[in-house]
Amino acid sequence: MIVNIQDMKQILLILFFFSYEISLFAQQKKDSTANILSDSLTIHQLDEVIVIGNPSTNYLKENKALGSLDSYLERSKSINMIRRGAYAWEPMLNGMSTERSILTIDGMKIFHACTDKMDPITSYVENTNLSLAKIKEGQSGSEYGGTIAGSIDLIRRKTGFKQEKKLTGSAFAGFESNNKQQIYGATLNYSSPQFFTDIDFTYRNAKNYQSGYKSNQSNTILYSQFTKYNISAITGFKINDKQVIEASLIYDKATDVGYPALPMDVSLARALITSLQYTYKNPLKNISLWETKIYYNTITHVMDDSHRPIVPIRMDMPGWSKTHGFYSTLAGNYTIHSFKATLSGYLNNSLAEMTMHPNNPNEKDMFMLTWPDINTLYTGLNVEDNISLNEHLQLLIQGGVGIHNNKIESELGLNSLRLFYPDLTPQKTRILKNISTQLSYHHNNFLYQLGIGYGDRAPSISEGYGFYLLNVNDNFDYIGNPNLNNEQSINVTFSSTYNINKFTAIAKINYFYMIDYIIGKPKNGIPPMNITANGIKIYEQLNSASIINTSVQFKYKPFDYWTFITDMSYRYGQGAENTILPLIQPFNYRLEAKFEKKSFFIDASLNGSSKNRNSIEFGETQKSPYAIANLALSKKFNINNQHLIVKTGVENLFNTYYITFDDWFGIPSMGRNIYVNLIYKF
Amino acid sequence: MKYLKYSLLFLCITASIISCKKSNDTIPNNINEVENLLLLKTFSDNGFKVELFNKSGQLKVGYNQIYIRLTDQNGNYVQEASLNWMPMMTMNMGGMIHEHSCPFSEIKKTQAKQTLFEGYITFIMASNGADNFWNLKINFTVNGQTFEVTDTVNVISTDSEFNKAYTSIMGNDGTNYMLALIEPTEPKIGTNDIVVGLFKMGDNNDFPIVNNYKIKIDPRMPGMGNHTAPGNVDMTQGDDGLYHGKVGFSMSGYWKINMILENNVGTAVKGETITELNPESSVNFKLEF
Repeated sequence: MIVNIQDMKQILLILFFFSYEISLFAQQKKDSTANILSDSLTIHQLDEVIVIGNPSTNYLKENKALGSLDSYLERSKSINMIRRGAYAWEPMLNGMSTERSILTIDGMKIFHACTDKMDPITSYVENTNLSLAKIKEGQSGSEYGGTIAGSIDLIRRKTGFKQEKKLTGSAFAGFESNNKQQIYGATLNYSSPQFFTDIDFTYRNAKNYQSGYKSNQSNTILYSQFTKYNISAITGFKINDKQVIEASLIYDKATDVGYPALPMDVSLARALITSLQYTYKNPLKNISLWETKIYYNTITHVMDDSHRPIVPIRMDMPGWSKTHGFYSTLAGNYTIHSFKATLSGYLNNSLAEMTMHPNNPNEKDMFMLTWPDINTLYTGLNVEDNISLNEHLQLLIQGGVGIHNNKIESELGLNSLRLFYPDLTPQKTRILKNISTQLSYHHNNFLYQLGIGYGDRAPSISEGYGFYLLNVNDNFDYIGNPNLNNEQSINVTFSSTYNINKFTAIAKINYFYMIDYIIGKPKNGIPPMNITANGIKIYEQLNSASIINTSVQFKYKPFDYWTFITDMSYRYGQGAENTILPLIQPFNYRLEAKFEKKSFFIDASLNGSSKNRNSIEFGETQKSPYAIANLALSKKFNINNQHLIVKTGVENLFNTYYITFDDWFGIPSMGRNIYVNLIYKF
Repeated sequence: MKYLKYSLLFLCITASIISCKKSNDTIPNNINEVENLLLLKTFSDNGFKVELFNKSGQLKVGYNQIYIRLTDQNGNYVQEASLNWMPMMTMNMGGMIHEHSCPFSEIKKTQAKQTLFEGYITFIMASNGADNFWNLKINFTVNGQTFEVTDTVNVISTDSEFNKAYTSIMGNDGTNYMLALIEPTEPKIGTNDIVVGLFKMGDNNDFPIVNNYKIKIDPRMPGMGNHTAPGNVDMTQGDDGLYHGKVGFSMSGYWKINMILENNVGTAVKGETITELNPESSVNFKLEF
């Protein structure tokens, strides 16, 4: 199955009330019918959880276990992936791109280093590093900072402490025919009552991919190759029964990554992600957990166009992002309350520069800062309380406040932006706040959830301080605007789940009404910097914008071994001033049939899309409707305590040529792809 | 013994008083006000020494800010004097000798300096061998006595593919105008002050400052698709007679500063608007940083 929904959280209760928190905050949840059935007396708060295949979990049900993290995230009905090639897709949550959501790894803030969004932080991890992706929608994702769309927290994989000393491991290999992708890796896990450690390594190498068949058109997508190395280690040590120390490290390096949808490629994208965590269980009566983490991560991203034969001018655009941070979370229970409070903070430095090499070799190189060596300092406190009012009714309230400060460190960067904003001061401080509430009602076979939230966010570095950043979709150079107000959002979610023995239906709608919606608008009279660009857009604010997300899912198990699933989703985005919001998913559907018996698994699916409501203002063209057929087979062999899992399948069975609404610059999606995954576990 | 002690003490005190007094007398000789400046040329006459300094140690075509220090017969720097100068180009064109001057300022005492005088000369062409040379004549009056020194000075051309700090143009009003870029001497990314000297060929072989004109600017990067940056303010005449405005550079590299010269009634006398078909104005400076 595509999205595994799990019971994620127990009920939480409030520790502190802020005088300025008027109401509180909602945790929108996906609904787990399984959960309702198994535990009909307690309604658990549920985030959407995507289980990420890795050798420690059961691979059998994953169609393509060794697929990228991106392919896992894409399975969520809340997520769309912007594709600029075969690598480093950008996850959009609820129809909104990454500046409107919070992306974390185990609660750690990491900021991408590329001004062109070629390296969302999801590109710096591997499946083997992770066990889950927790998705929270709207203001419920505000635990680590202000958000509009919600949050995606990638949870590290770890074996944990075990009663018996045990060494396990796996080795895996994969091949994908379409882009000749080779995947190799291994994991090693040791656990004991006092100590555990997990180490993993993954290597991927892919050539250019092929689109589906279209007459009179080459189907090779040039500059879509990539190579990626990833190594991670996590280790835990038990001080005593209550206290644990954990250290984690992820080192990820991608080289020779092509971006067919962009005029530039990446010769190096490298991340080092480290953390140290201290956990204290049951430190006090009513306090079940106190967890504190400090972390540091550094990203180097080297973008250039050296592989492109014809360019107006040669450019190098390296970028760097460094983040120091911490969080400390306290969770506990008191009577009908389950509460949690998180204090978190980070200091990020983002710097990006551009060097252009003139065609006249005697002319000096041109240089500018595209991100002005800017520090972002954030400190925030978020609290939530989950109150079980009675056996049917549960109330979640949540709220938080944070202080967000930007400071331009570079005199050069400051002077650059003063071309546009002569009175610009280096520093800007904002107060971010969020508040939400959610009511869950469970009765018989029904679960209803209603959530309302309000929150705001600070502009991203590019929105606030970017300098001549080319967007190839609309072909405008974008200039940041440091004087933007916080973007605010009011959001309402309603979901309804119905479950009887063999049948489940889930319907969900959420509505975001955004005030001071940040978006680029053309500025006449100022020519662009990039030679091919049409003009300049400056980030401005629409009075309002609305996004509606809807989805329904039906799941039916008529006989043993068989499952049929249908799901559909649709989004709509419209802003003031007749602005059609870009990158909004049209009607999308998936039909799936599964057969699962013991160690054998087969899955056939059809997914497709209607034509999109394209935003001409942002360079979007209308994409034709499409439907793609996929087939997957898995078989597991057990020999003593060793297992061999063989998976094979075909994606885009009929080699259909198609372009999705979120294929950047209209680059066609992948054609027929036959894959084989071999996983050996001991 | 005691007497000797007192004598020594007395001597010491006297010596220190004398030395103090002496140093008071010779302050100009002991203070160096030409730090960060380089010597251009030394003229001598009747025991007077005239030293010319500027920041680069070179005279070049275009605007040259020049500092002058006078030393008297006793080797003391002169604090009070009146000076004037006359640069003159001699051109030998196949036996025909032609002489002309160039725009230059009066010489005045440098503010907050005791031993320096200053002025500017806008050389309009470079020295070129024995047949084309610049003479600089300096008259100075100290304590009622007037002296004159004359010598050649070497003026180099700094025009290159990516540098041009001086331009002369024939306006459509029939007047020959000269523009010299004074600032920015150290261009930076961002908004820079721009200062230009605007002169014309006068009726009496002089080169007066042109008053109450306007110089419109449009900086462009020819190597970057003729990109331009915001932050520009057209130049208007300041109290110092020079033209002041702002120029924006979005990045380092080679910039061409295109200009349109408008007279005191707002009519363009030279220079063209930049369009896609017309990438540059006939009035321009070039710089690279």
